[in-house]
Amino acid sequence: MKPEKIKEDFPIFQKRPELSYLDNAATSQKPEKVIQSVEKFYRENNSNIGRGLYELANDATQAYKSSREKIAEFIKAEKEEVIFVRNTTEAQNLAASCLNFEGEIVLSEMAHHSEQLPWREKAEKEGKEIEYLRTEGGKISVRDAKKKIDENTGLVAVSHISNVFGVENPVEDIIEIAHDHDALVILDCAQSAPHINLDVKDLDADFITFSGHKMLGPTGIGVLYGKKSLLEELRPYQVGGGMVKSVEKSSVRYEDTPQKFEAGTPNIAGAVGLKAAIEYLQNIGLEEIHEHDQKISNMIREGLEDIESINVISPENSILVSFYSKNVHSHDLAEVLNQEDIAVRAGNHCAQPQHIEFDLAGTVRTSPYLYNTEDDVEKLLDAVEEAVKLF
Amino acid sequence: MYRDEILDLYKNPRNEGKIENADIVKKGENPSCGDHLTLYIDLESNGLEEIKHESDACAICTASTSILTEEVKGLSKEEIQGLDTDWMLEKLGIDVSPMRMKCALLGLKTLQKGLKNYP
Repeated sequence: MKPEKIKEDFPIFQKRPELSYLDNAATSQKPEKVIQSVEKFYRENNSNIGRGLYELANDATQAYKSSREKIAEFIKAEKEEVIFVRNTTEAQNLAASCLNFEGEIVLSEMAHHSEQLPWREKAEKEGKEIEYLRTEGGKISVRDAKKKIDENTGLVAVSHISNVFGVENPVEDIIEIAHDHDALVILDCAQSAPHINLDVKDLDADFITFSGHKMLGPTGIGVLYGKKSLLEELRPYQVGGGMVKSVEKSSVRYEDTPQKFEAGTPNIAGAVGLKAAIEYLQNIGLEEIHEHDQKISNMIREGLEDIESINVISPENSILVSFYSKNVHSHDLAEVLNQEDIAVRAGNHCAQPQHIEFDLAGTVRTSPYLYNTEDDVEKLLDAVEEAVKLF
Repeated sequence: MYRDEILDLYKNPRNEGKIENADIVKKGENPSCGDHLTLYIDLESNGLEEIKHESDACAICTASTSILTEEVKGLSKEEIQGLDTDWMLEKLGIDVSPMRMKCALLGLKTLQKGLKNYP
């Protein structure tokens, strides 16, 4: 894989050749092909979907449908199991709002706010207890999962890869433990979908969620996967146009899944763009991309470990590297990096409880992706060294 | 942004520390970025007599809080409530990006809140 060559596919790096973009866990840049696919949709195929009988409406409907099929193929799901939403946050909210279950909720201390707050809100409304799984070595502790997931557990919500630590959690174990106790599992794959081939059958999670914009797609399009048998049981999320079979004064019949969860005109162009993004990723190969991201992350980690006063909190072979300096506040560090055209994230990355748990005021996070080069790493390390000297 | 004056105020904050039995103790934080500070304020009849701070915060926040504590001594409560963003930025003397504005203003906002709730 040649990141220098890949970079040429991304217009933003032509406009800003000096940019070292290392904030891919927040959002990724978009390749020409994705931008073109969205533009082409609006220029040539724009129409609403579903109802129009004219050719143009048919084209738009087919485009939307084929995006869903692409995503289903990408995660090895049935197309009825793929629900389009705005993003991971909406997917988690949809699930929390529609799911009815007995029992307590188990979350993790490392949880991103988007996979944590919808369930805390639900727990408060419905009087459910919440337990938090501890973090050990940057991963959710299986030992703790064995202790806290029991016959009283109704649902377990965890991340596949933490956006703070960047390594795969032992989700297979956690899912097995949960299912042994008849608890549902929702897996936040926002950080894993851009790097790892997801196989929902293999994973066996009941629901998974991810965002298109972190995997080269447009903003405003994301996915909730759910097992068909479970989705069929659920009531709709929002009601309105595009999701009914029939409406009479005395009764309403809703469409089957996935339409019953997609009220109103959806983000058709976004879905088209996400399909183009997945095709672009598949063309290069996610395994190669994953290997590259780990290689760049390992270079960053090794370099940072040589700099005095820097502590790295991400474990080996992570896909991103979070660190802090004992002398420099994370915002000051990020600001100095910004002056060198290096984009990183500083703060608590929407995972405040985890930072409090580890008594960290904030960390700096570098999250590489397929277009990051060894030059980006060198530039980053030089700038961190400068920043540490400055303060 | 990180001029020598700012770095100096960060490394050697002015009026740092506690006031025992202070009239007002007010904590302030920017939870999203991890700036924390505590202000200790003593009042006299005409206004603010003494102010100290303990800051666990970034350079911009610590420097602006240092400047604040130097500037507000002797001002009346009303005068302090009248201080605004422009005043703080002028005293700080650097360009602050929109994302860092909260850092620069944490000290002032915390002081104003502390005084407002004091009878």
